[in-house]
Parts: sequence; structure tokens; C-alpha cells
Amino acid sequence: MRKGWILILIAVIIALTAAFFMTERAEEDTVTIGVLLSGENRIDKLDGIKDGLEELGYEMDGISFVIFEGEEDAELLEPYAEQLVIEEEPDVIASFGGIETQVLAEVMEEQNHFIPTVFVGMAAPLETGIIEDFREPGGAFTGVSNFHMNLSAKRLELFTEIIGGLERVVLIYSDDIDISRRSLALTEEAADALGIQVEPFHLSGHFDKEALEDVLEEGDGLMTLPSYQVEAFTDEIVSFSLENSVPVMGIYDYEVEAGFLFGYGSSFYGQGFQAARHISLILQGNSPGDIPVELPDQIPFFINEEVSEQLNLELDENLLKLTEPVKNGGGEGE
Amino acid sequence: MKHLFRSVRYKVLLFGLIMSIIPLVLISVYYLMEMSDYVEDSAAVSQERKVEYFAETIRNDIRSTFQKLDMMMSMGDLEDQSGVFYDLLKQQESIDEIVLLNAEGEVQTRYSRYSINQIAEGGLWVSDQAELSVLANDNHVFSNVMFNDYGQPFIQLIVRSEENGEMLGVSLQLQKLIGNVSSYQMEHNAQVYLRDQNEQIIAHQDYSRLWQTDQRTEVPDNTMVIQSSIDEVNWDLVMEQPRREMLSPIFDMLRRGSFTASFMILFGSMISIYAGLYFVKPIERLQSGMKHMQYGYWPEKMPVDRNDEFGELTAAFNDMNTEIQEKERRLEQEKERLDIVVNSMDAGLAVVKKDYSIAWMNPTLQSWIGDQRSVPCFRMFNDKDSPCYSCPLNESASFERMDENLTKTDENGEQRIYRHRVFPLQHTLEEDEEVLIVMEDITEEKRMEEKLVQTDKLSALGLMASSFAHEVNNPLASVQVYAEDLTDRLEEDKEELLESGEMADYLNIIRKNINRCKEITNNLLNFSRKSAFKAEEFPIEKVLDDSLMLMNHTLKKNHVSLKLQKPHEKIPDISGDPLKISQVFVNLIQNAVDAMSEKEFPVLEITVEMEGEEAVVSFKDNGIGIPESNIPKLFDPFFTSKPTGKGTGLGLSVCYGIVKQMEGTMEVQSEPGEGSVFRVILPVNRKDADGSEGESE
Repeated sequence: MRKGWILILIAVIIALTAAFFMTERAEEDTVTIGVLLSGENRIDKLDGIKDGLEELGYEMDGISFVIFEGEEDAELLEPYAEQLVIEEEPDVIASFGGIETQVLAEVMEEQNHFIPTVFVGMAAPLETGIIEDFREPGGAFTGVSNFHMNLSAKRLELFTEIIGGLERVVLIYSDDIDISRRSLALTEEAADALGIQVEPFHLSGHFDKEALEDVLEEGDGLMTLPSYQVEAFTDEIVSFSLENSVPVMGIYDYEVEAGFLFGYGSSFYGQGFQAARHISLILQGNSPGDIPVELPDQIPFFINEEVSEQLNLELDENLLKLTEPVKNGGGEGE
Repeated sequence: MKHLFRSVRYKVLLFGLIMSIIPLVLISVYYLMEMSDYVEDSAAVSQERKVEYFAETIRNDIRSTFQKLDMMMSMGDLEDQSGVFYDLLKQQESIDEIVLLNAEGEVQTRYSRYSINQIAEGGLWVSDQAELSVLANDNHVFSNVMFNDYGQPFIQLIVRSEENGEMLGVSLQLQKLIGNVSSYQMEHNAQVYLRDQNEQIIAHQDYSRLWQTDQRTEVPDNTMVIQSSIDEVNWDLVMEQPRREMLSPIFDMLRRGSFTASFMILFGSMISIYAGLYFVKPIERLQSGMKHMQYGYWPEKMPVDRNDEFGELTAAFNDMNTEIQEKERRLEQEKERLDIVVNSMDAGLAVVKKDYSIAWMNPTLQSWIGDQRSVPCFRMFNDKDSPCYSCPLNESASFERMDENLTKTDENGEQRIYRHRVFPLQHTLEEDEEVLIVMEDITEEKRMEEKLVQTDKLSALGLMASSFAHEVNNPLASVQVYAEDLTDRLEEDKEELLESGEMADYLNIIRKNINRCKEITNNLLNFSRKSAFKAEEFPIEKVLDDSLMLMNHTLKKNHVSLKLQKPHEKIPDISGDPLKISQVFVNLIQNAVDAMSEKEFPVLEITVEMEGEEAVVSFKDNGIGIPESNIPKLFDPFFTSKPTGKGTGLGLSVCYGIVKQMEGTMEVQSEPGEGSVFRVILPVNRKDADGSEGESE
């Protein structure tokens, strides 16, 4: 008799608990965000997305991330992209750069299976055919264009303007990367307009220090152009810069933290923070094709003051007002 | 079902459940009702705050930009102060570019965030010249929303210097502003959108409605609308939310509250049930144990696993159980012993109820009278048709106990004598008043007593034989002398003898002597006659006289001086057997004579007197007396202090038996060397005594 009562009570409690959690789960609307990134150095974008979503009123308990990282190997991206698109089928995918976005686009095209994708910092989405138009991208892709391809001209201008005695700028790029080539062309065009000498230097599989030294002349500066291959040699470029007392203009905050003198471009974290808006709009039911691609909200001009002192260069006081000093961890304050 | 709710277990469980459910339900209902009003109000306030927050952000952005431009303009000579422009670019992240325009609107200086600062040739920065005319009246002007080469929405803000007509203009990108408004996760289907001065939607969560004109004239029913104006640019920020969706937190709270209340009720119920069972279980165990005891099964010793009052109660129950078992075992032992004693004893036992019916009798009694319990006891035990007078059950009398000899004719027609004792039982219920009857068949005992009395008599007769012979011999000798003399006188002068009357005198003397002999022999015959106990009323003095007559010769022979003292008043008659009392007196006189045999002047004092309601006959001698050690054994059968062959030892024990039979008693006082006093105390017949007294009066 008593056992019967206890069993009934336990059954009711289990039923109530199950009903409670089922309704809670239904209400929570948990979403899955797939993430594809070529290397660990872009992981700051994920932090930006999370903070951005929280800023927009999301709770991280209701969001799960499925992350595939290519370990700086472009060949790994394709199988990961296939796995992400075919097996995981997340609600939305965040691709952390141009190469990741292009691989995803190919995979989706092959599989004829399109998942709304937000690119988080892509240099040339229009030029690579990922979107049809900035204002109405069409298709399954939207996101944040980091504008780094076009921004190279502005960076050259800022680099030569802030260091008055700069006679020539060596442009480090990757000839086998489309964006990098396009960026070089735009930079050379701007150099002509500004009357500045530039010297391209191709960097791909490995960092050829001697070759760079051969190119380098007295009074030169180094400027990196968008390329994930060039990004991978950040530490080597820093060492080279310090050994040869040559200033370097980079793009990202982490490069300046590592030892570049300047960096002008949106940070990985900032791109992620901004892309959270696109993710939110897609999660709210908007089609990626309707959501305009955005340029970076912020393009900070980073300067490493320690390196500046080390190189002992004379900098333009007016332009220095635009700069933002970076110290250890300073770039994470976005 | 009714039985269920009578049990303590279900009452405790029901009480626990009610106490768990009712307070929680009441609190929950009260809480939910109070909270629902609060949530509704606070939801509206919360939404208003959100809208106001977004609107204020936009206002601040535009206002601060105008303020900064004004400040710059007031500085003058801006063309040479690039640091001021860069400073503004750094401070205001939404500014794409800053331009310094001359009074005609041509770009003098340009600072861009995205592209090189090169100035395009021949172009006017302001696309709509009407704006410049506005500036003549107002130093601040803003453009419509426009799109740059990359599709980014922006507006132009311009301020004009009143001094030289120069203007400062900025391109303010709106993507962040629009994006923040559009992508903010609004709860419960709330929609936020931004309308510009042309009713064009420039920010909306639904991007399909972006850049369209808001042509709605009415707001849908049951929709809450919150609107905030951004006067700086004549925009409106609007939030719309269906009222039902706005109240969804209340429904959510109701649901969660219901779940929580259900859980709490269940939890409380489980605790109540557990607590109820915890308290009721030992009671049930004790109840079960009591039921076992009630039906005669001894329960196992219960585990004492608690230290509270229930533990003490269980331990006390265990002790009580053990003690009762022990007592029952002892009771059974006692009963067994009692059964054996009762069943094996020669006495008959019976329990008789108030109505004289027999409740129980032992086998011995059954064998005597048969098992006829419905027959009243007096008929069963006494051949009577009415209750015994002295029976304690008899309400007309008030005897506490009864001890009588009753006679009953058995089935063979033989009359049996039973000693019939009745003891009231104290521990009976009032309506079940009962007495215990103990019956002893004393028929054989009585017969034996008669034999002993007879033996004693014969013994006394033997002792009295010479006295008898003497007593009879003297009158016979007189008869012989007178007969011989008469014979001689008849031969000599027969006629003279007749005439003188001597013949008649002689014959009269002979007749007197023969009568005397006859009287002696009659006494002797009476004394020696074997007779059953026969109760009759008799004068004690007469019996004493007859006894003295029997002992007259013995007294004379032993030269005993007899002092007989009688009262002046008549002693009331005694109820009993006079022959047997005579036997007692003869025995006592003989014993006194024997005790004084060696005395020079033996004196026997016999006193008859009344002491209260009893007649006392004392026999005092001045003989050798009785040692004190022998006094307790005096009335034992066969005890004698006389030399062998002189006494049988039966005397005093028979005397005692006779006196007791007549409800009297015997007392002895003796002083060795001084003599003894034997007192025979007999109850007088009260009726007779009263009659006598009545007569004497």
C-alpha cells in the first residue's frame, strides 16, 4: 500500500520535472552557431561575437558553438566546411575570414545546401563574388567586410605621413593570394597618387630573411598587405624589423602588440563584435541576402610606443592624435 | 473507506497533506496575483526605458557631433590644424570623413577614415544645394539618409561659420546605429524601428521593411506603441508590441509558479507522509502487538530503534510483554498445581452462585453427587428443599461462613455425612457473587469416632467392673439375707409374719434392693450401649449425678472426698447427647481418681456454673498434676501418662471429640504436684435458657 503511494508520487514528480524541462527547453530556443577559422590567431573574433551577442541581449546559455579550426592549413578547411554544412547543420555559420568564406561557398554550392553564413572580416567579398552587392548581398552570405584590401591605400598614406623621412615602402604580400594581389595593385595606385615609392615583396611558404634584406634600403619602411600567409609570419617580421631598425605598418592590433610599429585596420575582436549584429538579425528570421554587408565600425590606428622609442623615429604630432597606443593586451579593450 | 479515515495513520497523512497544500496554494495564488500587476506595469516601464535608451543614444551621437563641429569652427584657421580633425576622427568613430568647405560648398580640406585624403576635383561636397540655403538661417543642417559606394547609409551634418561663411561637414555613418537598433534581441515579439523625417524606415528588425515608407495610419488593436522623437534630425524611434506578448512574462511566471508550487506541494507532501509514517509506524507496531496479545499470540520483541518517547513506549511494551508472559507461565504453573491438588484431593469442591446453582465442581464432588449443576446446592448436598440457615448466600442471615455437617442419602440409599464448609469468594463481580464450598465425606470418620467412643466405654466398663459388682452385690446380699430370714420365719410362724406385716416389710426391703440393682444395671447398660450421636436437650446436672453414681464405688474405694457445688439457679438445658457427656464426666472423674491415687487426702471438687452463655463443669483434683510439656499433647489420641495396662490413651481425645461435636470446648489448668482442673464448657440452649428465665420470673 505504502510502496504504491511512493511509486505514484515519484512518477508524478518525474512527469512534472520532465514537463517542466521540456517546456523550458522549448522556450529557451537554443541555437547553434557553426564557426570555421583558418588558424588560432583569429580566435579573438569568437570572443567579439560572444560579447556582441550578450550586448544585444542574448544569453550564452542558449547558444552553442560548433568550432572547426584549420590549424593554418588551407587544405583542412574544406573537409571541415563539409562537415559543418552537411553534418552539423547549424542555424548560422560564422566564417572568420576570406579564405574560410570562399571554401564554405564552394562547399555549399557543391552540396547545393545553403546555410546562412556571416563572414567576420573579409577583405573583398564583392570582388571574390561572395556577395552581389554591399547593400543587398543576395544569396546565403552577409557579414562584415574588413575593407583591408581598399584600406591599404589609406594605410600607405598614414604610414608615410606620420614618418616624415620615409623614402620608400616595401610592401610584403602573397602573390598567390588573390586578395593580396588586388590589395597590392590598389596600394601601388595610391603610391602613384601620393608620390611615394613602393617595392613589392612576395612572401608565401617561408620567411626569406636574406631576400628581404637584399630588397631593403636605408630609410625604407615595411608594410604588410592582407594575406593569411603573411599574417602567419608576424613574429619573423617583428624580429626582422627590430634587427634592421625598420618600421613596420601592419593591420591588426595583435601585430602591433607583437612588435609592429603601426597597425591600421579593424581588430579581430571588433569584427566579431560587429558581426554579432548580423548573426542576431539572421537568428531573428532575416534572410542574409537582405542584410547589408557592413564596413568596420571602428578602424583604430595602433602604435607600439616601445617600438617607437626603440626605433627613435620622428613622428608627426598631428597624426599621432589619431593613434591608439597598444601595450601588452591593449588590443583587447575593444 | 470510513474505516480508513478512522485510523490514526490516515488522519495524520491527511493532516500533513492539508497543511502542505493549503498554505502553499494560498501563498502561490496571492503571490501570483500581486506579481502579475507588478510585472505588467514593470514590463511597460522596461520597454519605455529601452526605447528611450536607444533614442537617447542617437540623440547624443548627433548632438555631440554638432557640438564638436561648432567647437572646431570657433577655433578658426582650421586648414593648418590637421591634428584637430584627426582628434575628432578618433573621438567620433561613426564619422567617415570630415571636410572643410568654403562658402560655396567646395572642399578645402578632407580627412577620411577609409580612403586617402585626396580631394576630387571640381565636385561639391553637398549634393543638395538647398541645404546650403537653409544654413543661411540655421547654422546646423542635416541631409537625408544617403548611401556611399559600399551601400553604407550615412547622413551629412554641416555647421557654418557666421564670420567667414566657411563650413565644416561630416559624413556620419548610420550602420552601427541602424544595426544596433535592428539587431537588438527584443523579447516577446517587440518590434523597434526608426523613421526618418520622410517617414522612411531607416532601421527595422525586419530588414525586408527597410528603406520603405511607413504608410500605416492606424496601429493594430491590442498593440502597445511606445514612440520617442529625435528632434535633432526629426526622426522617430518606435516600439510596437502586441499586448498579449507583453504579458507573456506573466504567463511564464504563472507556469513556473505552478510548477514550483506543484513541486513544493509534492515535496511538502512527501515530507508530511514521511513524517506521518515516522510517527504512526511505532503506534501501529504497538497496536499490532496489542492485537496479537488480544488474540493470545505473544508478539516478538519489538526493535527499539529510537530514543524518543516512542522508543521508551516500545521498550515499556517489550517489558510489559515479557512480564505478562512470565506471569502467565507462572499462572499456568499455579493452575496446573491447583488442578492437580483440586482434582486429586478427597474433598469435594464447588463454586456456587448467588442463585444456589453450581458454577463449577471438582471431579471428586462430581463422583459423589453427579454433575447436576442446575439443581440448587441445598438439594444436591443436603436433601433439603430450602437453603441452609447459616449459608452466607442466605440473605435473611448474615453469616460470614458456614461449617456444618450435612447428611445426604446416596444412590444406594446409604446415608452419608459430609462436613460442609462455605467460604465467600471476595474477588467476584457483584452480580456474580459466589461462594466456595468444601465438602468432606466424614461418614467413615464418624463411624471410627463411634468405635473409639465405644472402645473407650468398654475400657471404662472394664475399670468399673468391680465397682459394679460391689454396687450390685450389696443390695443382692441384703436381698439374700432378707430372703433367707423370711424363709426361716415362714417355716416358724407363717401366720404371725403375715399378720404383723413384717412379711410386707421384708418384701418391700427386697423390692427396694432389687430396684437399686435394677437402677445400677440400667445405668450400666445405658453407659455401655453403643449408640449413634443423637442430639437432644438435657439437664447437665442430672447427667453429672448419674455419672457420679456410676463412679460412687470407685470414689469410696479410693477414699476420695467429693465436693459438689451447684448453682442455686437451674442451669439451662444443653443440646447434645447426654450419654456421651456422661462418658466425658466418667472419664474425667476416673482420671482425677487416678491422679490422686497416691494422695493421703484426695479431694475432688466438682463445680457446675454459668459463665455468660455457657455452662461450665469443672473437675478439680489435688493429684500429681500434669507436666507442662504434656499439656499440648493431652488431647492427642493414644497419649497417656498412666502405667502400661492402666490406660488406653483414648480417654481425653474421645472426650475432646465429644465436646467439640457439641460445639463446646475443654480447658486444662495444671500445676505439677498441686493438681489439675479440667473445665468442660458447653453452650446452653438459648431458647431453653430464655424460657427458664421467663419461668423463673
